[in-house]
Amino acid sequence: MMSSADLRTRVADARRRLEALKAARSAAETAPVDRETAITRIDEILASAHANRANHFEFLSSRAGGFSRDAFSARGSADLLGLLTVLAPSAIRETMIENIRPGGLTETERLETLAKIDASTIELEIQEELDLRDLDTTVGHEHRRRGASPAILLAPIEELIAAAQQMKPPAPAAARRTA
Amino acid sequence: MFSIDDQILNDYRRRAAAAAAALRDAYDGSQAARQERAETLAQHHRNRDNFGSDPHPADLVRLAKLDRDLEVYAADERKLRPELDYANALFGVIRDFAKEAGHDVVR
Repeated sequence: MMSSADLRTRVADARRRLEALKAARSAAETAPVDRETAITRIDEILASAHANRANHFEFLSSRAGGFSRDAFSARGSADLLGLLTVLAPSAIRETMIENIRPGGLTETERLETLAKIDASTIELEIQEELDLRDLDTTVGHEHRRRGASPAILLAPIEELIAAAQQMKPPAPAAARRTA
Repeated sequence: MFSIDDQILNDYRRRAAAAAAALRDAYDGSQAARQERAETLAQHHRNRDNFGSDPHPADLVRLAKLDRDLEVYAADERKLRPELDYANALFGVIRDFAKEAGHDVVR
């Protein structure tokens, strides 16, 4: 049986780690997409802009002929990306690729990261609640953390203990042999 | 994921109700002390105006005690208000969760 002081220390440690997991979750959620996905998007955007570009030079074939600088400028500023896909398709693509943010995640990586964080969060929250219930019985009701999972707060203690035991990593082979 | 333990739900409900009752007691005590203080002072003013008498020593002692009581009640209220906010917020969250989970929360 742990002392109240040890339980409190462990609760405080769990809360610090939960805060870190919350920050990690937020970072994973808002992380940019991976480079490959970003390049696919760039190519789609450029292809669409090229396909739907304004005709910047149509006036050249008008009956009056001649080059209308005003008409060119108006169409160019109204559809700059379309114009760039005509004038400098490689340059605009390369520039866009150069601006891809590093540290991106594929959707699979993002989902795996979030799942790992969520599993660690649940494990820590269960341990925190079990420690708090120990403190509840020894020193009186302890304040619960704002944002604590209501499912865990309301869970019967036997279910929390069972869940905590399931989540425990298997003991090393040597420890199992001596147990 | 987990089932809901009615005993725990009711404990949170009881704690919220107890926090509300404690704050109400402090408030009621404070109101009663204020009223008694006002009445004691009014009596003192009437005595002074009608009879020119000095405050009765017992009244002065009474007023000093009421002032001390008021300070204690004010300190209690300052301490109990956040406790009530905490207990209410927590009970609100878990009651809403239990309700959403289809649990009968009116017990």
